[in-house]
Amino acid sequence: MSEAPVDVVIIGAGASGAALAWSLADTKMNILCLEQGDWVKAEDYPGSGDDWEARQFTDFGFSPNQRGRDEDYPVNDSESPIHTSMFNAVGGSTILYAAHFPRLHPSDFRTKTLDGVGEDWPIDYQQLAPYYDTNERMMGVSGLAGDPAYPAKTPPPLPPLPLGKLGETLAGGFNKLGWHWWPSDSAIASQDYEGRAGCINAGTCLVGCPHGAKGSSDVTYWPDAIRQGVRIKTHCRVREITVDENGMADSVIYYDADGNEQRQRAEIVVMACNGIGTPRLLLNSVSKQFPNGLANRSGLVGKNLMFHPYGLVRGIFEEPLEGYKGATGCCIISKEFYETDTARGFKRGYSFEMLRGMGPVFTALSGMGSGHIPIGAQHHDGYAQLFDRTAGMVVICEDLPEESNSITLDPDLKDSNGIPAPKVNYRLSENSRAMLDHGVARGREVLEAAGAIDCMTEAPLQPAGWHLMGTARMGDDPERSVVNSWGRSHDVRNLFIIDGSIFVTAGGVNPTNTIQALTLHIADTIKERLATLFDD
Amino acid sequence: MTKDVLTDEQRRNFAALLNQIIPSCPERSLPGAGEAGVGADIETSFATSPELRLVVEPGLAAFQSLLTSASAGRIDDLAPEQLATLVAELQSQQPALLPTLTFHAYISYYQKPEVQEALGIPPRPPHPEGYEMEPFDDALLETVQKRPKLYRPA
Repeated sequence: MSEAPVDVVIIGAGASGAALAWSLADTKMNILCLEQGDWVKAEDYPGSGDDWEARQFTDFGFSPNQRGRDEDYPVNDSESPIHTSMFNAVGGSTILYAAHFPRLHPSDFRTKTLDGVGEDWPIDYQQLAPYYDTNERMMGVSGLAGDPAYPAKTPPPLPPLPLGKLGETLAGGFNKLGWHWWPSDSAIASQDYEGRAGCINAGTCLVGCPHGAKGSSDVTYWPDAIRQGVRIKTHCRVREITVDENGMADSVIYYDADGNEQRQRAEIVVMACNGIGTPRLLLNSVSKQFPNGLANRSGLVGKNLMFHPYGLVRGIFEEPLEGYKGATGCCIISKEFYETDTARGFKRGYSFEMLRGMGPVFTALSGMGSGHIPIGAQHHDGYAQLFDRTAGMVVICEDLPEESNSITLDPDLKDSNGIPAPKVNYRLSENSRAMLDHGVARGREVLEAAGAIDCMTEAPLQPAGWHLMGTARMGDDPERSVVNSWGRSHDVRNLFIIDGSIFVTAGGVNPTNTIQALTLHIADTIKERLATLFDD
Repeated sequence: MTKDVLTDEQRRNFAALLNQIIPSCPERSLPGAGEAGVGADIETSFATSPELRLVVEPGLAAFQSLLTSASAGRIDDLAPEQLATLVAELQSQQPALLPTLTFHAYISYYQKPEVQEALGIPPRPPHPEGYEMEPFDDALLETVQKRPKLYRPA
């Protein structure tokens, strides 16, 4: 069946799809977003139930393979040391993200020039800065101006989240060592903001925020975009993008909520499926003009996959830290080792991000895994040693682009509609390994300086494939990139990509703020060039 | 599948086994896992987790056989050290059982309000009440604020 044509079809209603819809809404174009998931209602979230921690192992788990919801597609990541995390819904993975919201640094856009690694971006920090400002206002960022790790920037719209006893303890460790730290820029409203309730420190961020304080894009951009006329159709899974005889995208084929095949014609097709979903769909969109996948004349679709390899360092303290209170992932950040110092044995760098403590169930399971909490007579002593006495951090390493790290189509695995599923082909580079080792060692130093009596470490952290980047990167050279500096495909002039797949390098911070800032930059460029959008 | 998977006798034995995983601790006002009703939670989970049932049911049958050999099936007749010996034997016969049970027992036990109250935290889900916290105090940042810029211009 064929639906009435629209001006713009956006595939994916997550972080980037929402921002683009909002920005383009004022053009009054006919804009439709197709999303394979559904809206998540406040009462759907686990945070109001006794089993809220346990549901991170079932229907609110990070891994689509583990969740197995109808709207999830499987990902073969069995051979990768880092496994994929994502969520499929209106709001996408922002439903489950920690909402840590840092910007990239100016140097992140010039790694080739500065350090001889990776590639330079076709845009720079200064060009993105006004879009970061807009995005931080729209997402409701809490934070503090004056961080010496960044150029001067517009202060966040809300004051920082509380540190609590745990955060202050860790800050003391950094202060003792004389190392940089700063309260996290967090897309969590520290006060009531733009119709959203302020954070109540419930600590359920990673299974979603029933309070609405966390800035997932379903509660930030989407309500305004919909008020302006943008439509979302949920439970619509796109199979392929088709092209006409001129090589222009002319429609998307999708399965609706009843499993019926539909065709949606559109003047502009925008991909917002992130670093795995986007290359998967492009590689599944094979035609006479594009036998190796749509927009893939460079051969780079799916290549240069970057995660952020994570190291986890958790310290055990003698005193209770009240670590079950507060935004889970948003506390303090350190950029002490962010910029390149070749004496460290690797190029580029990493961030530390402090974690809150664990709830009662996660304390037990963590202690089971580490051997600190045995079964039997010593169980309660072991538990008492850990519960509310741990504080930790993650080391977020910059991964460099390598063509061998890639997304391909799995020859056997398919989703419930029979669409070939993606396969992750990834190995940890020597540079990333050296960076992880350095970060874990320095993390131990911080925790010990803060008073930890013992530390547990894990690196790389296997289930930490939250940040999916690089698989359709931007650039000025069509031989070396998939889209141009404003997200338009080099090969298909009415096809745009706006998600993490267009990252050229990864930086060492959470990418959502940059994904959305890039999206707003692309949307503005589309609006500026509307009359000549498809010209060479 | 219904909740009534196990017989009453199997449930008694199951509770005793769970009490070996998480024993009671009267000085901390903590019940054993069997006493806290963890067995019923796990039995309920059989309906949504057939793989769990595939491990637990034969494991409990093996436990029953060991009990029959040791005390004609009467678990109450066993001294604590005899029960511990049986559990060790069970572990060697059914290596998947105890890790699986422990995982599910920990999840069930530590989400029970009476256990959380004994741990000293509010016995309720985090939402909608949340927790009080003091606002951020930027006095902690005094030394960091005096540092020169850390970023590289580009």
